[in-house]
Amino acid sequence: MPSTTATFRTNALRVLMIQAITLLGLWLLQWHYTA
Amino acid sequence: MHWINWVIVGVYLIWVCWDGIRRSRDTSSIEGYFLASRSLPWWAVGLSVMATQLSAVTMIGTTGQGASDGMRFIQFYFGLPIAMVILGVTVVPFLHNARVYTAYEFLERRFDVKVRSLTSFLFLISRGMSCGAIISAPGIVFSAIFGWNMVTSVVVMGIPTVLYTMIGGVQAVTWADVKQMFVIVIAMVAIAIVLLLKIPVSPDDAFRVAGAAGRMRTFDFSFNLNETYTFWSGLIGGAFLMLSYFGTDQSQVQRYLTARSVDEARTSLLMSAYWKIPLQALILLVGVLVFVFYLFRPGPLLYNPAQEAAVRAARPAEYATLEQRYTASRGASADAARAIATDVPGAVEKFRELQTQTSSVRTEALALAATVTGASSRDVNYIIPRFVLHELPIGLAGLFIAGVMAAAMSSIAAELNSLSTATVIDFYRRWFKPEATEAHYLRASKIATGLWGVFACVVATYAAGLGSLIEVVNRFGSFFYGSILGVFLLAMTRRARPSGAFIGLLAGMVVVGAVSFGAPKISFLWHNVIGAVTVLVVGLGISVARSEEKE
Repeated sequence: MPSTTATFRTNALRVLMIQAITLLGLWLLQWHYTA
Repeated sequence: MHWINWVIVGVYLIWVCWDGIRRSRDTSSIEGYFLASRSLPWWAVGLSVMATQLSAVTMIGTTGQGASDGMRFIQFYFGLPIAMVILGVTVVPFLHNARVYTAYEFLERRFDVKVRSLTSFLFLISRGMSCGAIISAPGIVFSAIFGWNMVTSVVVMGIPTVLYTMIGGVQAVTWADVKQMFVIVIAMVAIAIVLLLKIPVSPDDAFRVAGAAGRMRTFDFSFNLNETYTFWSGLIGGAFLMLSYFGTDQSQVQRYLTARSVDEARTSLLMSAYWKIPLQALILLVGVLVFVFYLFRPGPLLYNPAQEAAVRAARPAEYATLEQRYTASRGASADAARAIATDVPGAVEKFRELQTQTSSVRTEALALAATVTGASSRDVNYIIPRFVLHELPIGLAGLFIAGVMAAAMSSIAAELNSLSTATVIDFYRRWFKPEATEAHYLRASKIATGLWGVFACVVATYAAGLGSLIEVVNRFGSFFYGSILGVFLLAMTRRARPSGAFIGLLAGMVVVGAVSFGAPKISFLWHNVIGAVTVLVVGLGISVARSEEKE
């Protein structure tokens, strides 16, 4: 497997975390407005 | 449309062409023409990756889907960030370090020329066709709104795109994409702001009304293979689709092969991973807000003006009755929506009941339109154009039309550019003329771009009758996508052999074809998973069996 730089790993983790938070936000929107 | 809007569209078209042609001076070699001599910064590449994926279908069809179906469609993109990270670790460094022009070239180095030629050929067929569909998508809408025939639409968008792509190569494509992405985002944000200002209730109440109509339902956690958009089909099927699209489709691979280094290429994909879901959420939310807008403002029964005129002429009495019923139930719906905003007890239930009534009148009208015109009765793709032309202030409508053209042109340009690359590098140079001068290949590449442009324009004029725009584009790819991804995954395993890859690829396509015809209800998002897994299993099985035979 080709090596990845530490910067890429940090950025990738950050992107995945932010996406998870975005999905949580969308879920909260759904929960708030369709309950 | 007001002349100021036309001026904006005209200025935009001239600007993109002029800038594209201006950049042709940087392209005196094929590495410059196809890969910008691997010199582009990550943010330009990232914007180009996003602009290529975002087509006019997204601007018109996805917003329309938001208006008619709500936020559900966003689940389609849930797998994208994961796919981008996986690609950053696997495919991007492999392809970038291999110094290849096309993704398929890499397959010849790893396997043999048969695998390379077959995958490249499949890419040429599916992308050549889908390029036609991408040109025709906005053409269908323009023809209904402006009365243009398909040929005019194709000429207005197709010819400038073919011109700047042919002359300027990948540099023109990428820098045009960067501008186009800005035009698209500015247009969408402006429309969202106008909508929030025009809806007569507060944004919070607007979303409550949308929620009562089911438009804020984003997640469907059911594990139903027949349902196209669920959390799981988006996360798993979507991840496989995005892995195939961004990892093995030359129209995307070529974007990040132009980056300065492996790290910049990876970062460009992460940029897309970062922005894609929020951007799609914005686009769908615009659609949802248009739905709320038309709750309070009289909207048409049929959104496609050409269809409406035809029905009105052929069945005037029947249509008038439907319109009366529609106006009555829509008016009551608007009152109920206001009641929701002022917290009247029982308003939500009343509103939902009236919504069911309103949509059943719409269904009847659409069925009537289908019998009169004999064509598809869906009018989802006309909702946003209708809103833009009748409700947006002067200037903004022009900006939106320019945005739709930008979205179409950026996707067409990237595809023409990559079709030309695959034709010249994987076929012409590989099979017909391996030893020729740079100037010769450069000329061949420009001619190939032009010929693909002509082919796509011809397909576009016939693609009109193919049904829902979004699905047409995705369906073309889904037959091969998963299987080609399977071959690239095989290429990364140590034990895979050329014969295993070739037979595995054929097996993958046969299985996807069989599933698609035998169980047509299974969502196309799962086809990619089925294709990739079949190729991996069959390919590895044959490879292991063959190597044991030899031993």
